[in-house]
Amino acid sequence: MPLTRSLYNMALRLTRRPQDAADLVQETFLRAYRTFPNFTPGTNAKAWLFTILYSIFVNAYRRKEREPEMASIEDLEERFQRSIPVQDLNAHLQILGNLNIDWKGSEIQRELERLPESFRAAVLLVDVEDLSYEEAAAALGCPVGTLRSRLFRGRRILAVGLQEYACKLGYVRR
Amino acid sequence: MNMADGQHPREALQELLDGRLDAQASGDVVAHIASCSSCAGEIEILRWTRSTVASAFAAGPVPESLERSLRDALDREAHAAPLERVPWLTRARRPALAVAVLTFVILAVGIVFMSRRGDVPARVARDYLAYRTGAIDLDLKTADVVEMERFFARKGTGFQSRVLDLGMMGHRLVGGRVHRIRSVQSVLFVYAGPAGQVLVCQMYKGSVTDLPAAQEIRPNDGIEFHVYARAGTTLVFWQEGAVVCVLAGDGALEDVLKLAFTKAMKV
Repeated sequence: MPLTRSLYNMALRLTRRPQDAADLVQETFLRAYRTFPNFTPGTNAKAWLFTILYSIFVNAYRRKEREPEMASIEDLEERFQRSIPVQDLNAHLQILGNLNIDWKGSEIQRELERLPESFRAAVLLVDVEDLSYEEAAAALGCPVGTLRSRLFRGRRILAVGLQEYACKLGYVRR
Repeated sequence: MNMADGQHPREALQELLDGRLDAQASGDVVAHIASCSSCAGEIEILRWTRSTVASAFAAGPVPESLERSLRDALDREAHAAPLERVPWLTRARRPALAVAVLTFVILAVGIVFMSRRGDVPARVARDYLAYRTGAIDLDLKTADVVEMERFFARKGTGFQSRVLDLGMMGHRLVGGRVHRIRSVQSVLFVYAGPAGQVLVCQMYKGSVTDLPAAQEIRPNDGIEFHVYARAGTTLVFWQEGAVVCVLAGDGALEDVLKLAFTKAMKV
């Protein structure tokens, strides 16, 4: 089936559990099948499927999802505000970039998982799935301005998290 | 975009990076960045984070059982549910339902392909504008085509990139980067012309048959060149074996075509 990899990837990042992710993808395709007449030819089928997936996630999965280590918006805003000066952060990230670290399964994964789901979904839809702001906003059911703000903060918080990781590893000093 | 009040245009930096600003707004933000070290650092952070996120969270393999269970579920949906809900739907009509499921799958595949096809030239034009406005940078700056090819080979792009020396056409290599066109990895390299023209070339694994209908197809020396115009940018695509090449420029169509003719190689 087309886009299964992308949908499963997104579902796994949202639910954090492979079985839940598989169920979510299956339900997405079934819903798409049932509502196929509602799809407007010429629009982005990928965005349409993500809209269905996120809607099912919000209504059926989010309530039962365990989020023990989820950072609160307030905590993140505080981290965002007291984050390292831009020049230092930029220099530190350049050092990290030059180390050719394979980030898969590492600190950035944990940083992403700690992001509030709405920030996480915005980053994943735009940066990983390459949806436009408008498509991502439609999928998440929010205005484009909200999507823009979540994306900006999500990216910035991830950057701060990576910088803290660099400090922890001793690559850079505060 | 008004930046006269001394505010840092934080979210506009992101919009520049994502290629969402028009030429006027891009120019304003780029001018601000040139005089503001804080914003220059900020956009580098966003760029680095975006690219790290894209590679760290790219889709991995799907469990083998999932594809099978999807087809089974769709099959059950078509057969069982309607029979329970709609009394007049007899066994005799089940083949028609199987056809309906198959049609859905084919239509879904077709629509996805159409969506992808429709986006590529616009995406390449966005990349061109993003480079011109400073929203994307080069991983390696060099005028040496061999060094550039070695750089791409080290990065393991999965295909043989071919960076041609266009010096005899008055264009010198500026540098390049490993890039993406939507979710497909590409190599992107830039040439500077004698009068300040900028040409951005990209190569990626794919087929020109996946592109939308071209505005013009120009054959030359046994190769078909697919021509598009998007957002003031001329785009010329052609096929080299398993790789699609595209040359993007804001000069006259014939000038971009002439360079494409020079660079293209029959494989």
